[in-house]
Amino acid sequence: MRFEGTLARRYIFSQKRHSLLTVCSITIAVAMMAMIFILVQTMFASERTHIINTEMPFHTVLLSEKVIPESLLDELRASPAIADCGYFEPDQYYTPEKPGRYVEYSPMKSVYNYYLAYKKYSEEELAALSDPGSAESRELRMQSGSSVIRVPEKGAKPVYINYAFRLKEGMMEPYSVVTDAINNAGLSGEIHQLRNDELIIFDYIGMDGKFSMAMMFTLVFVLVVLFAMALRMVIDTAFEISSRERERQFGVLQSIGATKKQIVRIITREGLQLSVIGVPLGLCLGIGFAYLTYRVVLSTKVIYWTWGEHGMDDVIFKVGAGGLITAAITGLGWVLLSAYGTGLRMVKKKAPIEAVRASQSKIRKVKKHSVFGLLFGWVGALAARNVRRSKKRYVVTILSLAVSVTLVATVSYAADSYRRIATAAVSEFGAVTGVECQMMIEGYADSIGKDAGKQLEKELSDTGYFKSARVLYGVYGGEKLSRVDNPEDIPEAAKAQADENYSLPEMGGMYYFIYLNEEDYNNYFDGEPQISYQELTQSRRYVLITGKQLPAPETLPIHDNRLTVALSAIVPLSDERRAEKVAEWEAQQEEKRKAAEAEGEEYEPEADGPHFFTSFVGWDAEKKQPIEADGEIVNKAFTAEIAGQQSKKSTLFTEYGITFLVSTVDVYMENEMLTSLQHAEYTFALDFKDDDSYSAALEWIKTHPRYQYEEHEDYYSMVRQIETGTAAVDLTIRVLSLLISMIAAVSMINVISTGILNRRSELAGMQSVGMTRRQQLGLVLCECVQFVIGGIVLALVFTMGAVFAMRKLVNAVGLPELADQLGLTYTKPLPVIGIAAVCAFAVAVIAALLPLGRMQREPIVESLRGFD
Amino acid sequence: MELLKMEHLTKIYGKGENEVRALDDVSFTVPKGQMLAIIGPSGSGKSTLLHIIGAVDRPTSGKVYLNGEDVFARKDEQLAIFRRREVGLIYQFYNLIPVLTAEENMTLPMIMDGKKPEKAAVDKMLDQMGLLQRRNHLPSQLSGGQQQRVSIARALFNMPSVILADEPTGNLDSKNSREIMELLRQLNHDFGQTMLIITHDENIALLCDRVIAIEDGRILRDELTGRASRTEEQAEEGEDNAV
Repeated sequence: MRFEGTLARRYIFSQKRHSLLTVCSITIAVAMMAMIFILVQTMFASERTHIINTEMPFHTVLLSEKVIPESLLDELRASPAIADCGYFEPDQYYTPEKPGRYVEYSPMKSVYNYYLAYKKYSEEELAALSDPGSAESRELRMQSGSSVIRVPEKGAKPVYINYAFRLKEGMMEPYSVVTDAINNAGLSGEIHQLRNDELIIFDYIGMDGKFSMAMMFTLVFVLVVLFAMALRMVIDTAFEISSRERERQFGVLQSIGATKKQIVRIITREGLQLSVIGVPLGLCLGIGFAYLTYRVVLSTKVIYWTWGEHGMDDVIFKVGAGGLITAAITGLGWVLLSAYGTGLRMVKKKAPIEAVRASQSKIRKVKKHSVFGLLFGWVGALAARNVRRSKKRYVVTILSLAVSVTLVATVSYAADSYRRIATAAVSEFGAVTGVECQMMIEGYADSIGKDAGKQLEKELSDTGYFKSARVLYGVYGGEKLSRVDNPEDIPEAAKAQADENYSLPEMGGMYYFIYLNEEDYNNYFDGEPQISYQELTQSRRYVLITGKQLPAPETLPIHDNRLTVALSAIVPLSDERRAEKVAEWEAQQEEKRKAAEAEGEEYEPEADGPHFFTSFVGWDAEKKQPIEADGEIVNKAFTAEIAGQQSKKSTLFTEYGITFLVSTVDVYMENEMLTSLQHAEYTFALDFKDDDSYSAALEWIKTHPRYQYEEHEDYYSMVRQIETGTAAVDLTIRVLSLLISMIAAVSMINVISTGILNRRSELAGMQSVGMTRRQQLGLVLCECVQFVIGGIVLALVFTMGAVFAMRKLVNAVGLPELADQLGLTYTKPLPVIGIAAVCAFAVAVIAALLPLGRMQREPIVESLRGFD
Repeated sequence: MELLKMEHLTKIYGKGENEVRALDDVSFTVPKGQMLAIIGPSGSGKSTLLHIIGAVDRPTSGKVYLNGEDVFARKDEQLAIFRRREVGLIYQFYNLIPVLTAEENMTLPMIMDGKKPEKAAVDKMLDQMGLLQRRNHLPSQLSGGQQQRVSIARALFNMPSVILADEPTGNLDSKNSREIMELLRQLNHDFGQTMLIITHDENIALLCDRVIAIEDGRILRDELTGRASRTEEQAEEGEDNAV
């Protein structure tokens, strides 16, 4: 064994260039693997941190106004499904996810903050939350949205009594253990359970977690395997080349008594010794590459636009020992396999004397005439023969080049298609969505009238964050005032009375006012209104949208084109009515639970409900006063003068029989009938100066309660997300292309440079019979060109085949237009392939010229002696 | 007529303690048409001397003149052309290009020179070397003796001023060795080629006109053999044949 190690070491030092090349190959391969593992770990760790910071650091949380019985908690603590259970009332709660620091956390505070931030409720209503016993607090808590948990602001007081649980990974459905225990204790109505689904997945908990993570890891595994195969080829080539060179020496060793096993062991030990340098170096390089990628990703703002400003803190560069060990083991595995395989090939069915004679190539046949011979004379002909003297090497080189170029071309192609779609989505965003601003926000004014809107407009403009801030349209409270949100909530008596006196019987009996600005007005009537906007404004009347042709005038309660309607403010339901609805909802839930239990199914309590809606209030024409219905009426009679009628189908009409009265904003604004309203609502169209002004403006809007920000109306962010998504895809493609190119480049450098070095004495022989340096240079350049042409032609065939297959596929699924949208043309990949060809040629030339130059600087006699 | 002139040739490898003096102030001349054997033990410097004369290595000091011209006054590019046109090198291990056929190997120096070999000349040379039936064979398809013949043919085909053979029979059996030496002798006789042959074999050396013995980089002995008297005559005949 000792002599094998010694020989291996001697070979390493005697063949410095080959050893260096092999170490480089191992280093690159291990670096790539380490980089992939680190990036995957970083991605997973960052995602998990983001979930913890935006959701909560627990798998499930129980919320209850009352103290949860100790018996239930004991049962849960003893359960094999529960890893950890804690009561937390204080402001500070320590979590293992944030070692060394305390995280303030309280779901109730989060709920509070959520409502405060999103203005779901007024300050008064929020104050009501602090009294958990009140009916209003309960209603608020049970409404949708309360399940959104955010890390609260410092200093906020907890309201609820909370228990947090961390679940164990082992069981298939640990979450249901908690639910079952609550149900069994008969506390399902009193304890509200929040579930952190994403954290459950990331912690491999339950069936869902295991399945989802298995899917993710499968994708990663496929990627890793693809790279592993490519990198294995690089290492394999390095060993093959360096060992082939010593074939003769191995023959000599065999001839003096070394067994085949010993020869294999020499090569394997050599591989292991080179790994001692290559693997740690690869790991360091991999960490460096990964960190560089991480910094690039951070600098692209992809995270900012995906996770928001605070999301940037969630991105953690994670270098896990597991990933590094796997990369190192994979690298070592490759080295051993490659070295062992090469060793076996060296001694396979070969008599020692055959190996001893191996200094001369075993070329038995050459192609005498070649295109290169015709083009470049004897130099071209010689190059053509040299390139093909080892078919295996030639095939491996052009195949690896072709596969790499095809991969780069294909991924670039995919990225380009995605970019086209994304660019179209961005450029046509306004046209498709009908949105011509970057953000729409609601603004409330304490008084109504044009001036109020103007004042808010000015306030927004004065912030300096906006390129433009304008009132887009003003429902000015009017829509809310008259809107019938849910006809079912209208008491039957009120509805009947309203139907009898003020409605169009055949149309369902309810009115819906729409106040439009000029642009919207014209759009509403598809540019052909029955009466112009200006005319309607001047007449101060309304257009009646009936949904169908009106019946005979005498059957209508419209006299002289006048329609008397009622106006009302939004009023919440009375306490009695609300209590009634809560009771109804709870009864329904109980019924559902029982039904589920009866069928042996698991009952999942509905987090959303009960719902309360504002009511429609009619107008009593005889008494000249509003109809008293649920809630307080603060209204006056209003006679709408009909300026025109128009049939227009609408969902509201067909489903609810709602009739529209369309008028202009100006009429609404000037209507004295509305002066009694307490506030008006405006919709503002905003355009930002730049990204910085957007961030600052968003902060400003969120801290000014009179404005309401809705994520779905933040088109700036949407567009940015599309753009940054495209940038992220671009970046990924670039990194991927770089990795593929590096693998191809290393492989090519290995093959070409060692090809030159192996022919060192042969080239020196040519020099000795009079070949000039220039002629040698021409020879190796011709060889490089042939490698590149072979690889590129093959890549063209592969790529065209891929395009052909894609076109066929697109046609087969009946979406031929998709081919155009994706840009599936045969000419599209050509530029990428062209660039790849130039780069490949440059790499080939460098790979050839470096050893050639070095060789040419040495005395011919030295080179003639070869490696012996 | 003096063809080659070596003046105080010294070749030193390594430095300091590792310094090896392969050639130590070697001077001699070689007349045109002479067949000279250089003998000496292993490491005596004979191969180094041959490589320097063939311009594949440079001396540490001293000069080599061919036809009165300083060989190493040339630049690298010119030196390659010099090797191509003026020198024919024959190696012990042939150093043939494995991807070229016997004929292509033979004509390679001329092709490198941008000249097209005449078919008649090629056929004549191949015939003379006994390679006519092997002209399209690759080196791997030839025996050692045949490969050496190709190597000799390559050295000779461009009609260089001098042929340098580094143990041309070192890798051959006695039959092939004898044949190769007879061939070289014949060529020397027919074409009047000046030849420098390195050998271990005293018998082979005795087939030459002159023998120089080298040891430790110095000329130990320089003497003419019985064949030397015919050198001038052969040279004249060789010139006639070449023409």
